[in-house]
Amino acid sequence: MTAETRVQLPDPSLPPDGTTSRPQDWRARSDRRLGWLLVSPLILLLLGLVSYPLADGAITSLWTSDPVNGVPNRFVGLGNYRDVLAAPETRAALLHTFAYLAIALVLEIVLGMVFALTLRRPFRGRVLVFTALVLPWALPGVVSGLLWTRVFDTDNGVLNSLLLQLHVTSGRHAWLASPLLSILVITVVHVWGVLPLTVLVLLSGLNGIPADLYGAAAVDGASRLRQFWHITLPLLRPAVAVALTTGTVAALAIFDEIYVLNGTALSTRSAMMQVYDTTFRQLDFGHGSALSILLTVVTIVLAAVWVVAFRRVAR
Amino acid sequence: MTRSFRNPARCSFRAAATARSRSSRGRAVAVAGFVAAALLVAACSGGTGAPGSSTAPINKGEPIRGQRITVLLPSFAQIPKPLLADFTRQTGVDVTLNSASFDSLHQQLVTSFVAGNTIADVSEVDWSWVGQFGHAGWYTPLENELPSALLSDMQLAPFRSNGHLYAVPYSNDFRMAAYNTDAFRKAGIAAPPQTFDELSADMVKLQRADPRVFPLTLPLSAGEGTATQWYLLTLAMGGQVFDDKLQPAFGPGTAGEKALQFEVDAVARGWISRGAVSNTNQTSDARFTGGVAAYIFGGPDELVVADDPTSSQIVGKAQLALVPGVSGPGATFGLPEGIGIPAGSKHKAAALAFVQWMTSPGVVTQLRDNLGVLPARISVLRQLTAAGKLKGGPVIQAEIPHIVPLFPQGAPAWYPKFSNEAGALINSAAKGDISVAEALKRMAATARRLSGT
Amino acid sequence: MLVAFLLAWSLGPVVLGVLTSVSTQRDVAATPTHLLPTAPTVTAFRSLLGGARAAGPVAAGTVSVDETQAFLRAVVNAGVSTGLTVLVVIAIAVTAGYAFSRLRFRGARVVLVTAIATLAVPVVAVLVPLFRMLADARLIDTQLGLVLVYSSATAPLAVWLFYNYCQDVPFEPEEAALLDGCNRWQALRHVVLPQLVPGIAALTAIVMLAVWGQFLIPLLFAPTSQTKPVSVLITEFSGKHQTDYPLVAAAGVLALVPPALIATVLNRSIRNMLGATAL
Repeated sequence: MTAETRVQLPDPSLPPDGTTSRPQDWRARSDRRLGWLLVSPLILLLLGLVSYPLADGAITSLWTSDPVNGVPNRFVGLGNYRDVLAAPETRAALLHTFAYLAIALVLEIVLGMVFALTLRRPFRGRVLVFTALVLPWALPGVVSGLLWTRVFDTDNGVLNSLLLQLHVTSGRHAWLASPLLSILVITVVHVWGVLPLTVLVLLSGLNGIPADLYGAAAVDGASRLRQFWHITLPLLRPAVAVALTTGTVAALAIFDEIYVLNGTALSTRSAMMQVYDTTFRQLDFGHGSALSILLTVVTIVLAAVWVVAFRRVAR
Repeated sequence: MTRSFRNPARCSFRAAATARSRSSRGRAVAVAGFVAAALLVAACSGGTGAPGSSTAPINKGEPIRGQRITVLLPSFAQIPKPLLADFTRQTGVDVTLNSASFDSLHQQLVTSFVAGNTIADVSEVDWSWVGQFGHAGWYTPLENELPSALLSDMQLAPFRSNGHLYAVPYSNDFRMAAYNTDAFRKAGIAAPPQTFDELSADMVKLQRADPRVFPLTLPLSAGEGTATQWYLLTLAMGGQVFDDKLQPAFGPGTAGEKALQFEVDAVARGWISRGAVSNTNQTSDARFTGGVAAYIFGGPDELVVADDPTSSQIVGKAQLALVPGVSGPGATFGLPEGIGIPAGSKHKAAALAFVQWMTSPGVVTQLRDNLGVLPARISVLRQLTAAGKLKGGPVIQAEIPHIVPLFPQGAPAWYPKFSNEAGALINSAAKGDISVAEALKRMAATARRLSGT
Repeated sequence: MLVAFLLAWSLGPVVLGVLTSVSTQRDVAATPTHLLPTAPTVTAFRSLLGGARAAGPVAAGTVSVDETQAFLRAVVNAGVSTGLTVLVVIAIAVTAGYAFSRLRFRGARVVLVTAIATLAVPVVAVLVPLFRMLADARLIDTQLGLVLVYSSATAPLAVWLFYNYCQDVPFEPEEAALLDGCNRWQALRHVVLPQLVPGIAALTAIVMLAVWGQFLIPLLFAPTSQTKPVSVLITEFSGKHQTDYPLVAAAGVLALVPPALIATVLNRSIRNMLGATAL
């Protein structure tokens, strides 16, 4: 009856489970001590290397911080947030970022599902296919960037050469000249790098689905598609939520793929590029910090939406 | 194994309502504590601080023998070890030479300076960073530290800002033109164009003569190279990018407008590939050396690259030419690489000795031989040309008098941001997303916003 | 059919990388480009791994670093920082994941959710304060500093995944051990840990892959050849006037070998975690 999947999400309304059936007091006390002991390395690490710098950034975001102009830092409250939210560039960057996000998530879930289901079935050479699948993740960004520019270059790109040789097109296409197409091309390149993680997460979710459920369905004469729709998909919801969350984190931080393929073109700038540009090109740390805190909040909100929307279905 | 082994007890906590309410109170307390603790610690350490700039003169009498300095240079300017050993022999100063890709140097330096830490005693200073780094007080002013014989032998304008000199060049670079002699001969053009009218006429001839070869290549991607290309065309067409008060000087009817119109027309008329909107300086160069573009605005090194058989298809076919202008050769500007001494360096006297050594005539000549960088010393360039050791030497010599400073008053602090926006707007205009007028209007608005006027 | 698509998708660019690595710069830069090298050469590999290098002055603005030494050093550096990070993160994820899954203590849920929420913090947002902290602690350009930053970046996901994994490991053997009088530690050591091995193997792969190709973090925290990993070194093969395509591609292909080998070795365990029971 408890057909739970491997990848479960922490349900914020519930205390950690597993030990409630044993009410012995001494055990509970030792649980508490041991629990905090075991968790303390994680807490120390995150407190020191994430929370502290993040808090530092949060404080910077409330001040003017502009080392180049030599003016003393001044407390401005939420002024930096107001400025960046009012700036048209921020709005354009957010719009593009949400476009990347939407396309990336759809592609990642669809392709991730297809690849995970493919890899789940045994076949000869599966070990090697599995290794091939994770390779994009390990390729240093500069190398994949260079290879993808070799693919999409208008004049001496591999893609245009292939299309011309196969007589699919008659001329060389400028893949990065139109706003919509360039966003699509950039997202495909982004998804290529993120997909290994998506597939790993979905595979682990698939594994949590007991095989006997499919057996019963097969006895009932359900088609493969119906099995997928009525058994796999509902039970995979928590894994999908993890995949959506990691996908969202990656997509909202999209930067390198854009920079390599299209520079800082106005039609494809992302929110993270805006953060980077404000912080490290303009050296305006106040506004840069405000932007990055905003982006963090958006990411957390979206992740929370996925986690809640794709909660485990009660059975 | 089958699933029936799972622990059914896990479901039982759903009933534990009291535990739940206790847990949510605990959660609120814990979150508050977590955040408060972190904020407190961060507040105590006191926000983002910039290092104080030290304008005190360097104590040149300080004994430097036995010191060790760290030098950070881009990967394409790594001084060979035997040459470095010469410096150590002469001065007794040991050198740790670190490298980074040129594109990541700015980020490395900025992060360390803002964090109040200095990662090098001598570092690369690109001309485009000078305004920013100078205004931030991150580099030591050098105008009173170096002998005048050295200073008068270099182009220093790109390294001045805020009334100070923040770096001296170790390599030279400025924009010139280069053309494919084969393509020009086929089109029946005897000499490279001297004016933009001639250039336009030549473009049409080149286009007719060989439709497989584009007459021209330009960087038009959204990036720094695209912005500097437009500055060059603006100067060459007799204009200025900024006026004496650093106000935009590229309104309607100016050379700046004509320059951008020229670039946009070049795309529209098919003088350059539509793919040029993805071209950086590097890929634009590759079109020229690949033999598919006949004319390029490049540096003096263009010839060396074009004659390198490992990468070029046009070995022996490239020639340098002067940048055209309105009624004769036009103005051009320099894009040299320099070295400077971060204000936070603890070994400034040793660093200064290194700067002097690296810019000495003997060393710049050696750097030419080993790294292929064009010497920064004007006298050395002249000697190399006279000795016939510099490819295109006479043309290079002829171009030098046309070099003008891009910012006669010194680079503004906001230059990096402006050039980034300028590159993006030129890219948009080239793609046809916005008009030339709109691009220039937005560029001017950016400049005014950044300069606070 | 699907397998073919999967392979084409994943390996297409990698194959292009291999082809580029044995091409000449001239072939790559040609218009139209030569997908297949006209004169295959292993020059790029030789200059990375040792052996003959072109003599005489290099062309203007091309790479002049002593590639061989620097490259091998950078691969070793990457191996050290990645390996240490894997060890640290596994230790943290196993203890914390186990505690969140098995032990009942107030605040556990909050810590877990907060830890997962830190996944959303972009690296750019914390770079400057992190740099200041590490500089104050004299940890810039040390493997320790790099490993700490890597660990803080990858631990949240690792803990989350491992918590989920623990939730799925049957509780009965452990409970039996506890009832038999073992303490938590003994139960963990003798009963639980052996069950967790496949999960640990999978985490090893995930953390390794997540760290191996990192760029911005090591660029700032491991800036010199003492610590610089291969992912950062490769960016230095770009000269002032051109990027050495074959050299970058060859370095990328070589940099893929260690993670590919480890992923293959760990494959059985990963599949045990990811999909074996479904077979």
